[in-house]
Amino acid sequence: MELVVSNLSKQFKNKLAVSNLTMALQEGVYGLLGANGVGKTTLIQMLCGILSPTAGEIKFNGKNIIDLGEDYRDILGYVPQDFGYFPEFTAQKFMLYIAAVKGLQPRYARKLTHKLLGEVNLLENKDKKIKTYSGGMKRRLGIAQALLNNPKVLILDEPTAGLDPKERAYFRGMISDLSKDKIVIFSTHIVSDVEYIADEIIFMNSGMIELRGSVGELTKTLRGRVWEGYILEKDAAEYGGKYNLVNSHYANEKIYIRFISDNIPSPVFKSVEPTLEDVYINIFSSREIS
Amino acid sequence: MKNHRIKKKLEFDVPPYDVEAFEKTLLLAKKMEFGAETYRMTEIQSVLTQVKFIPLKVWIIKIIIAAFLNIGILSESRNGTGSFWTIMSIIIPLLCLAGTNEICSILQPNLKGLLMTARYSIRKVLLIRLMLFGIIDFLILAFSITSAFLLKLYFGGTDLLYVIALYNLMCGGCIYIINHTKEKDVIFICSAWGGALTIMNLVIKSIFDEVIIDKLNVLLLIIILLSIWKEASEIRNMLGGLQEDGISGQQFI
Amino acid sequence: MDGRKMIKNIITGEKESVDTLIQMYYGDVYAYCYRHLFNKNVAQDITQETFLRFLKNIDSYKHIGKLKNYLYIIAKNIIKDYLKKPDGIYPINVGLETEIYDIENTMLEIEIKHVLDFLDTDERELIILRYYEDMTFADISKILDMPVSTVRYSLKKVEKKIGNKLGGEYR
Repeated sequence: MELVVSNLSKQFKNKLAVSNLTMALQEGVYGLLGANGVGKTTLIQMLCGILSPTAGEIKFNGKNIIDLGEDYRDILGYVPQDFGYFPEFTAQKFMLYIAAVKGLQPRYARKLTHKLLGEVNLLENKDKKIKTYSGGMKRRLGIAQALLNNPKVLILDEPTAGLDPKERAYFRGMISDLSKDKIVIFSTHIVSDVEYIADEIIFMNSGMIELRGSVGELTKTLRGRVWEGYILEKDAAEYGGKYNLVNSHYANEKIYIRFISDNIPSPVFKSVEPTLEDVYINIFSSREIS
Repeated sequence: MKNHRIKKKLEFDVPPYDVEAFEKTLLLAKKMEFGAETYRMTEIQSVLTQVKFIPLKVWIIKIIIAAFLNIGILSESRNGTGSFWTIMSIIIPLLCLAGTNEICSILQPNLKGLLMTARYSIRKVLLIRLMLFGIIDFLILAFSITSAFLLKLYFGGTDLLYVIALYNLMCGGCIYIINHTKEKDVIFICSAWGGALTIMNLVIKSIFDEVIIDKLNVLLLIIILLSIWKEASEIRNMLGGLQEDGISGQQFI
Repeated sequence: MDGRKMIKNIITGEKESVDTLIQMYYGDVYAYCYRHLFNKNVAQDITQETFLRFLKNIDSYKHIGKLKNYLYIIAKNIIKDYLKKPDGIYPINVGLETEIYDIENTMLEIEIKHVLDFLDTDERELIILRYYEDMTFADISKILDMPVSTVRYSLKKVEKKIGNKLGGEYR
C-alpha cells in the first residue's frame, strides 16, 4: 500500500500554502510536525480530497485519488481538528448518520457503532447530546466516526490539541494501536505526541518538507551538539543571542540551560542525548517561520 | 467464422462435477464476510436514509404552519376580515424558514469537510434535502390554495402569482444567505429577510395595488423568473462550492 | 436475476444471492477449468477458489461487463498460477497430484489434451474460449484484455497451427 505525493502545490489568493511537496508513505504512523500556519492543514485537506491542488498530484497505489474518487474515500478516514456535528444529535445518532453517508447498512452500522464507541470509551455517554461533551470526548467521537468504514488511510488533524496530558496519553495509545496495516498520518505541533508513536516524522515549514526520518535518524544528526549546564544570570542574554536555546529555567540564582552548539563553549557544560524537541527547535529557530 | 472441423475434432464431454464439491463451495462462500467486512448500501439508499435523520420537530413545525394557514383560510371564508393577505405574507416565509436550518447545518465547515470525505456524494444529500422540503412546501401550498379556492375566497391568477413570487423570493434569499454567511447567523438573517418580505408585501398590497393593477401580472412573472433563476444559480453555488479554495471558502459577511 | 442485481444483493448482505450466484455459474466455471486441466479434483478446487476470491473482493467489482467473463478471468489467473508451480501443489488440494491427468481421462480426452499441449498458454486460452465456451470476439477480448483485432488475428494463427496438427485437411 502506498500513498505518493508528487510535486504538490496549493496557491491561495495571497499565499502559497504548500510548495512543490513530494513524499511517499507506506504502512505505519507518520507525524506531521510543524508550527501553526506552515501548511499542515492544507496538505491534509488535499490528502483527504477536500481541497484540490493547484499543481502536482496524489496517488494511492498508483492511481490518482481524484480519479479514484469514491473508491478512495471508501478507504479514507478523516478526523478533523474540530469536527462539526448536528447540535441536537447524540453520539449514537451521529455515528449512525455518518455510517449512512458512508454507505453502511443500518443493521451493520448499529453493531459497528457499538463496538467503536466501546473502543473509544464513549459507550456510557452514547445517548447524551454531543454538545454536552468535553473536548476530549469530542475528539474520541471524531476517531470513532473515522473508523466506521475500516479505512486503510487514517488522517488526523491535530488530534491532541487542547487535551490534558492524560487524554493525550490515551490518544497516543489509541493511534498506536490503529497503525497496524494502515497508513496513519497525524499533524501536530506538540513534539512529545509524535516522539513516542510515530514511526517517521515529517517536519514541515513554509509549505515544504524540511526534514524527514525516524526519531532515531533525526536525533542522530544532533548527536554531540546538545549541551546542558548552569550559567549566571548576567550571561543569559549572551547565550540566548548566540545559541539556539531549547530550554532554560531558574535554579538557585543560576540559570540551567539546554542549547545546541557545534562546539562546547565552556567546560561547565555536559553533552546530552538529543531529543526530538532539540531537532524541532534547531530547525525552526534557525530560519524564519512564515 | 469458426472452423467447424476444428470444433468437431476438439469436442469432448467434461465429466460432471461432484455434488460434494459444489456444496462445500456453497458452504464456504456463505461463511464469508464480503468486501472488507462492510455491508453496504447503494448510493441511492444512502441518500434516502438521510431523510430519517431530519429531526421530528421540523416536520411538526411544518404541520403547525400548514394548520395555521388553513385555519386562517377557513376563518377568512367565514368572516372575511380581509386579513387574508396578512396571513399569507407571514406564513409563506415561515414555511420556507422551517427547513433552512437543516440545509445549512450540513454546510458548516467542519461537518462539511467530514461529509466530503465520506464515500457517497454530499451533493446528493443536499439535493435530496432541498427537494424534500421543496416538495413538502409545494404540497402544503397547493392544498391551501385549493381549499381557499373551494371556499370561495377569490383566488385568481394574480393572487396565485403573488404566492409563487413570495415563496420563491423567500427561498432564493435563504439559499443565498446560506451560501454567504456563517452558519450560526443564518437563521437570524433569514428571519430578517422573511420579515422584510412580509412587510414589503403588505405595503405593496395596500398602497400600490390599484396603481399598477394592469401591469401586475407581468411584473410578478418577471419577479418569479428572476428569483427562480437566482435560486438555481445559488443552489449550483452551494453544490459546486463543495470543492473550493478551502473548506472555509464561503464568503463571509 | 441478472448479474448486477445479484451482486448488489450480496453487497447489501443478502446471503441467499450468494447461493443463486454460485448455482448459476458453478457448472460453467468448472467446465472452463476442466478444459484447462483435465483433472476433476483440481478443477473443482480451482472453481471453489474462484468463487471465494470473487466474493472476497466483491466490493471492487465495478460492472466490468458480464459476470461470467469476470469469473473466467479470475479462474484463468488461478489456473495460471497453479500451472506455474513445479509440482502443481495447490493449497486447497487435499491430495498431492503430480500428474495433471486423471486415470479417468478417456482416450478422447488424452488425444485432445495432446493436441492442446502443443499450444502455448495464450493460444490454448484462445481455443478454449472460442471453441469450448463459444464466446464472441468481444467477450474474448475482454477476458484476455486485448483488442478485438488482435484476438481475430491470433485466433487465425492458432487455428492454422491446430489445423496443421490435426492433419492437413483441417486447415
